Amino acid sequence: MTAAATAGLRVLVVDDVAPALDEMCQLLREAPGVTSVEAAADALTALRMIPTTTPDAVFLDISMPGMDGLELAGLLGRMTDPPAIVFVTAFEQHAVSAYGVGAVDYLLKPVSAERLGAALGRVHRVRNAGAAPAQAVDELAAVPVELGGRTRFVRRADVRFAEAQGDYVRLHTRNGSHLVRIPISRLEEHWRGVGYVRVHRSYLLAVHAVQELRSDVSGGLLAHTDVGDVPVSRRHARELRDRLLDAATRGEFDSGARRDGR
Amino acid sequence: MVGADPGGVAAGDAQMPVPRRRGLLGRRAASGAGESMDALAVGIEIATALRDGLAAPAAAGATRRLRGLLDADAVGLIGLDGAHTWSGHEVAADALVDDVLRTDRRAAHGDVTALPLRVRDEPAGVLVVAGAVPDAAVRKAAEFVSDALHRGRLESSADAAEQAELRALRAEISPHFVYNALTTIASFVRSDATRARELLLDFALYIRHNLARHGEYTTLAGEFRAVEAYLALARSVLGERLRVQVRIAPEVLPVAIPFLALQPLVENAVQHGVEHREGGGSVQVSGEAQGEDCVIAVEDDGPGMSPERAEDVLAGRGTGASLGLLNVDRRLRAVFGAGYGLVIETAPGAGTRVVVRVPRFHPGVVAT
Repeated sequence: MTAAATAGLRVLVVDDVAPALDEMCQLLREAPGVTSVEAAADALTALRMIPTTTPDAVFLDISMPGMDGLELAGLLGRMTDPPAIVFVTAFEQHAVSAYGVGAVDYLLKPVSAERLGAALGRVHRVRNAGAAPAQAVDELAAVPVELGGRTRFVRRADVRFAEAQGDYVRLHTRNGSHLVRIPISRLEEHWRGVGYVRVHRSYLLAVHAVQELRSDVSGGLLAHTDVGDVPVSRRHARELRDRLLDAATRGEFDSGARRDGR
Repeated sequence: MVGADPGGVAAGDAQMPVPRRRGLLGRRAASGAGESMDALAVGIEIATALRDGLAAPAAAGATRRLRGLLDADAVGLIGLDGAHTWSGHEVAADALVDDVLRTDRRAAHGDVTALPLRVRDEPAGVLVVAGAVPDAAVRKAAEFVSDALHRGRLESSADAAEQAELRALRAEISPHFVYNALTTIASFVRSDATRARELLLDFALYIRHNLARHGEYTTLAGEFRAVEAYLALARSVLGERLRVQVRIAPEVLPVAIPFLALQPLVENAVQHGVEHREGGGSVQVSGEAQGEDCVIAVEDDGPGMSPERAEDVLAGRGTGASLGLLNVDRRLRAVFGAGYGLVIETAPGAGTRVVVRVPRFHPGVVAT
């Protein structure tokens, strides 16, 4: 999400249904990290616009008269520096062929702002994948804390969740909590690749620490851990659920061997 | 296309020993009970190998056994689509086969005989036999193969009928619920456009899940998402009268279950436990791992029912939304076995708790 805040995306939306086109443009204009939104009502118009507007991503309806979205994506794929393709469609039957032409994501209409945010996150990651140098050193595998005048280290693996408190974060572990001077957004940059997920403006959560998801369906969602409950905001709920499903599919919660991080 | 043996493509081959006695039918030598039993066993093996038709890999096993039975040099089975399976050296019989398919009669050239195979008086393929085999034996073999093919088709259509019945048992969308939800959303369009938008997204998710036809299974994560969309809509309709808590442990999120194995239970709880009650009520849904099983519970604090009535519901004597319970019960048993039906814990005035227990890992059950 910090990447989304720094590098602005230019996007092009292609859809033959006018209200759907307007809706998608509106959602993208409201999304953080998007600097320009262009619209095209058919594939040929889009094809003419792309060389001049050079979008970073194209949000593409699949079922259109004339040239359809899959064909247009096929043509774009032959460009030297092609834009990222995100398909937007009403029906799931195309999913397999969509990923076949190298789509970054696949959205179902109607699209929610949260789901769109996740797609934009993927576009950012794909776009930055080539540029960003691999982070050689895992800088914050242990975090120094002051304890009774002495510096001790809290192992990241022991941290169930981190809670923002101004410029500080409170690291919650089974052996109590520790206040550390670091903005939560920086901690997230270091930890998101190693099993932590931002679930709220003020909370960063270890995926493996979640014992139960609790929802009252009217918007409130809590992630229950053995050191307390963490609120999950609506816009982060989907990513948390996806990460939990991935982790569970890999068997990371199995046979009581809930690992204490990595 | 399936090659001639001994290349053996057939998966079923391994289970079928090559018959020790050769030429039972060809020599008309069913003299003792032992030989009769051998012939019967070979016959059953041939029928089994042909269960999935001439084009199936297992058909290779049938040609080998037919060759043994007839003591022939080679036996070939040719399907209408040209798929052919040979045992012994493949004979150049294309002209004979064309002849048989055109005339629907026996054709022969030298010691190669070709006979039509028929299922319900329709052509189904051609049997080709090479070698010194009596005509009567070849005819008998053709009849036997025709019968086996017929039986295979009956079995597969019975399977298809069972599948169709299970599909038909899938819960139907309640029109009552749909119109109430739409009416509520229409009202929010005026008063709270953001809320209206969120509810429409929930509505889309609910409908998408209920219309899903691809694959028979979903993950518990997918089913819970649909349940939450339904509950969000139901809550917008019923307001504070409906109190909800959904709890799920992450380790059961990937568990594969049949589509709509859970949502009808939740709809039933809302309808029986909350909707018709002054002051409303609460519905709790939970999913957790218990050893090798995943246990899902749907609980309401409504009027409950007598155990006899609960029995009636599962025996198919219930009405209305309780048919949803029956439907889920039948489908779970069909997929996971008789031990995996619903358990209803209830008593008058004590609410209702419906428990679903499914294996966390079940061979052959994969979510798509």
